[in-house]
Order: sequence, then C-alpha cells, then structure tokens
Amino acid sequence: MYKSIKLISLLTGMTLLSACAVQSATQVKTFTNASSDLVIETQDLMNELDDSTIDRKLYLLATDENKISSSLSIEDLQKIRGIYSTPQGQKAPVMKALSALYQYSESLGMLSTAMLREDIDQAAQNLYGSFNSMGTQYQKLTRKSLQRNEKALGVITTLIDGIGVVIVEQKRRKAIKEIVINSDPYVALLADAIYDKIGQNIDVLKLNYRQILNERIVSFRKRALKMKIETRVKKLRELKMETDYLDSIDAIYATAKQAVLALKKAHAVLRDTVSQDKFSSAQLSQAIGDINSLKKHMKSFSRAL
Amino acid sequence: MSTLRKNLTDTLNELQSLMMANITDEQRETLRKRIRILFAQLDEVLVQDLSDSSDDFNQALAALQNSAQAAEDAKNDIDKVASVINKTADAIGKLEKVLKMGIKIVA
Repeated sequence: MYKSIKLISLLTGMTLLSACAVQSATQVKTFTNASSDLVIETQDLMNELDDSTIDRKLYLLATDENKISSSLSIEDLQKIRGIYSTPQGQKAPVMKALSALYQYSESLGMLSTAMLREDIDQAAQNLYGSFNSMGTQYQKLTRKSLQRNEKALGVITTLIDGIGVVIVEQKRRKAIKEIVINSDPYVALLADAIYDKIGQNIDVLKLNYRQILNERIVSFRKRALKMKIETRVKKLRELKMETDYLDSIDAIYATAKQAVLALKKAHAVLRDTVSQDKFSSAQLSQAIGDINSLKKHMKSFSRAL
Repeated sequence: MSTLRKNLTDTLNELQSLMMANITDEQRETLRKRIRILFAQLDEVLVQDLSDSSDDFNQALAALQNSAQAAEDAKNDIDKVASVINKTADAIGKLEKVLKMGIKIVA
C-alpha cells in the first residue's frame, strides 16, 4: 500500500515535471536541435571536402612509381592528412569553433528539457565549457581576445543553482533567458569569425579535385579504346559526375557560409524572444525553418559528394 | 602569405591544364613529378606563417610566374614543354630557399 502511494506520488511528480519542462522546451529545444544539426552538417561537409586533400595525396603517391615500388614507408602514409587537421591529429580552429557552437547549443537544449537536478548540473558544466571553448577558438581564428563577462557568468551560475532540486520552471526560464541574452554577442562574434574562415581554402580544394580528376581521365584515356562503347559511356558518366562536383564547390561553400549566418541570425531572434519573457514566437519559427531548410540543402550536397 | 599561395595555385592550375594536353607520357610523368613537389610546397605554405619581402621570397614569386606563363604558352606549342619543366624546377628550387623543407629535385 505504502509502496503504491509512493509510486503514484513519484509518477505524478514526474508528469508535473514533464509538463513544466515542455513549456521551456517549446521552441528553445527545437531551436537547439536545429542548430546542432546544422553545425554537424557544416562540419561533415567540410570534412568531406577535406577528404579531397587526402585523396589528392593518395593519387599523387599512387602515380609515383619509384616510391611505390621501392621506398614506400609508414612515414609516407603518416604524412597524408587533410587541411583541417594538424600534424598532431588535432582539428583546425575553424572545426573546433564549430564544435564550440555545437556544445553551446546542446547544453542549452539540455538545460531547457532537463528533468533531474543532475542533468541541470551537467548542462551547466557543458555550458561553461562551451563559453571557454568559444573564447579560445575565437582567439585562434581572429587573434583577438573575447572578453568574458564574469559578472554575467556569476548571475547565470546563481540562476542555474536557483532552479533547485525540484525543478522550478519559472527559475529555469529566467536562467535560459540570461544565458541566451549574455551569450548572444559571443555567438555572433564567433559566427562571424567562422564565416570569414569558411571557404578560405577553396582554391586548394579545387586544385585537389582537378588533380584527382586529371589522373582519372589520363587513366581512362589509356584504357578507353579497349573498352566496349557502353563501358566507355559508363566511365564517362562517372567522370562527368565528378566534374559536376568540382563545379559545385563554390555553391557548397556559399551554403556553408549561409548556414553560419543563419545560426547567428536565429540566435539573435531567440535573444529577442526571450528578452520579452516569451519562449516561442512566429519570428523564431521562421528562423528555425530557415535553419532546417539549409540543413536539407547541405545534406543533399553531402549525399552527392 | 597570400601572394606566394596565389602564385603557387596559379602555377599548379596551369601545370594541371598542360598535363592534360597532347604531350608524351614521359613529359606527363615529369610534369607530374613537378606538380607533386609543388603541392607539397603548397601544403607547407598553408601551414607556415610567411610574411616576407626578402630577395629569396621575391625571386620565388617571379620564378612561379615564369613557370605559369611558360605552361600557358606550352598548351599551344608542345615543343615548349621542356622549357616549362625547367622553369618549374627553377621555381621549386627558389621556393625551397624560402620554405626550407629539404626538397631536392632528382629529375
């Protein structure tokens, strides 16, 4: 009997908590989900393009007959890496900056839906980590420092602590509001810095693709006359597709840049919305819609690549 | 340094086009060797923070421009491919003086 009452109380409590979380989660969580997905999509796209550097190096190595037949070594293979990774295997600052935005977005999303105090604490910890990371990566990208607003951080810490063990929705909203308002300048600055860096290596990527395509065409030329006409057409179609990818590199990068601007804009809309103590608005819906449509666009590029 | 990078990518572009022209396999292979080294030098330029206006630097820029121009000319006159190969070797040597990667041209 006692156990049943306890279970009913627990279930009722959980239902209430869940209903409360839904309020904050309404559009904040939809926003953070869309933002996180878009960041991942941007990173994936840049990684896939970066693979072209590795492929170009492999092709040039494969055509080096002396090296291949006599002196190929582990060291030669270790030297093969992309533009976005350092010799130590670390990611380039632009990729880390995107990761910092992802971490921020995920933490905010977690904070808006967390049902347990431990999850709130975890979200807060990740959030502070993302603030540090945003600052570090901004400095690496721009060589300028991003001054943290320690006072605002103190207020945020107090507000998060104030959410309590039994999560009080009103307090959670207040914390989210302060976080979004205070983070917005950092998100905007970092987004601008990422925007400037995306596409910086487009010339190199085009050279990579051209080198790979050239080698494939040279190889095709040598074998083409021994092929049946149908096989030739099949191979030519493949080469044509690869040429189309080469032609789409500018568009891919333009979309990736657009995505970063869309994130910045959407965060500003979220800031304006929470500033009015609202957690949903038509403008926010529109901004989330823009992010989602860019995400789909980028996914189609990724598939093509 | 963007100028060095720009000249390197321009030269590589021209050499890539020439590689696809109606030249002999032997010429293509030699061009490929030059391209391979120029790409390695380009990778280094992307990593090194070069801001230089020394004689070596300016000579490397001029040599890259000569190589690119020669490659463009050779697309219409394949008798000039040998000159492209020599001019590119010269550019590689001059770039090496700036980048100090320990590159030597064997052939």
